[in-house]
Amino acid sequence: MNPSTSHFFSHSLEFLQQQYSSFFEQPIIHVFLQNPEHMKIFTETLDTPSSHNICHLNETFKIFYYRAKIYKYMCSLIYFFSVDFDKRARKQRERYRMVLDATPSDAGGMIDRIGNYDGQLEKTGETNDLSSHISDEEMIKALQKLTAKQNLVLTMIFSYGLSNKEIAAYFHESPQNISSIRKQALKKLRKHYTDEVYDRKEKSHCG
Amino acid sequence: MDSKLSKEELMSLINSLNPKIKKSLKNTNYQDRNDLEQEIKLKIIESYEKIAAIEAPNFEEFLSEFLNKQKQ
Repeated sequence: MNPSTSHFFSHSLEFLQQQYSSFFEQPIIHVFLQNPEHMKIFTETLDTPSSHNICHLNETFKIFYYRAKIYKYMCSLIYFFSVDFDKRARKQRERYRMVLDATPSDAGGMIDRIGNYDGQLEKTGETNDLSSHISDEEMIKALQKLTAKQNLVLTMIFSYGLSNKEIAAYFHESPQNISSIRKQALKKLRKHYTDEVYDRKEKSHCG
Repeated sequence: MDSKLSKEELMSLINSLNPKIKKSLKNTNYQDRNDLEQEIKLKIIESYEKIAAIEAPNFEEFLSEFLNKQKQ
């Protein structure tokens, strides 16, 4: 046994509490001795510092200390983990904003919506097709001259405000192709106006 | 020596820590609380090895360390 500790055990409790007051003020010792059972073991050891008693005290204290350490560890673990968790959740929410009418599995919310849109809203007679936004009859005629695909591309560009890139992803084509389709379609519309509308107007005015 | 934590004790420890866990749930959003509770418990169980490796001094060791510190 350690000489300094055996010296410690040779004193009475009152003497120790005076001499080593700071020892008894240690939180772990303080709480340990608050338990009446622990106190009993401690006083017994002081009364008769036999190796059995000391051993008993040692073991009891060790278990107690171990529990206290675990408890402390757990408390900080729970606290810091919860803070971390919240940080992670915030980050996640900020990076992946919730799109209301898209399921988590589909990647390009907006593009998927177009398919749904046509199917559902055409029944109610309200579509986002380009011609439904236009009151000019000539323009509607011109739009009807376009191919279905040109029409769809223009609808996507002007009604939904999608970029070439997004439309290309929808058709599985290159953005350049979409760009050229768009140019062709606009050219066709322009041609319709110059050929039919203005020519006719000129004729009607002049003739 | 049987001062190390058994699995049953770990479960009872988690139960006894329940109020602390519930309190820490307030650190996050209402929707995430159930997830967090589950993750905390999982984390505690995962940390079992770490907990078991924690060393604690016995009374004599603690006392002699304290006496040494006082001398300095």
